[in-house]
Amino acid sequence: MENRIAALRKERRISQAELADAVDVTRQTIISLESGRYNASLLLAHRIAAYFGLTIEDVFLFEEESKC
Amino acid sequence: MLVNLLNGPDYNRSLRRRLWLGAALLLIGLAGFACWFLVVPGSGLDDHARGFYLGAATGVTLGAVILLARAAWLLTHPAARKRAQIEDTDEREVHITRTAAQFAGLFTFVVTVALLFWAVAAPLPAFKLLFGLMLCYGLSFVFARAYLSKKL
Repeated sequence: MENRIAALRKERRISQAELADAVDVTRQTIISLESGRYNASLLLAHRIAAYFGLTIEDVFLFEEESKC
Repeated sequence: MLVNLLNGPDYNRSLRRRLWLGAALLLIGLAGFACWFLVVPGSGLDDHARGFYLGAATGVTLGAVILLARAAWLLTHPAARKRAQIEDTDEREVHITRTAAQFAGLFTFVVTVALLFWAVAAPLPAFKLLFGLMLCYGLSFVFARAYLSKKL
């Protein structure tokens, strides 16, 4: 699952630490989310989207895996 | 369940539970020291057994003191409590801890199975111990799965 967290954060000039504080996670979690190493839970995705004033779909790009 | 008790959504409540847990552990540690001073000297136990009891009592007591001190300090320092809450409840950290515990459990199970093949030729108590460990793992897995299937 890809996301636009880094782009949205840079667009609004918000640091990783500020975003982490706002959504109650560690800065390392924001780093992992931005690099795609970790997928957020629905609850965290909702908190991040709400922080940016967007919907979850605007921030997180779901890609259904190809079915064989 | 234990993790939720000590790391629930109400962090202040979780800290107060940790205080109770710390107090209980402190009692166990002190009871261990009492046994070491009162019972162990006349028990005829080997040196390594005496060392184990003393080490266990020291470890439990120290752990309890650290748990109590940290919980008490966090309850009275809001800024530190906020930082600790984020670190303790961060979903990535929780995910990492659970995955590591899952791996450790599976690894221990595989190692125990491998050791059982060796233990059939070893003294019977060693075989019984390993078999008991496997049984404990299997039963706790079955019961935990049944509980979670009903709960979730």
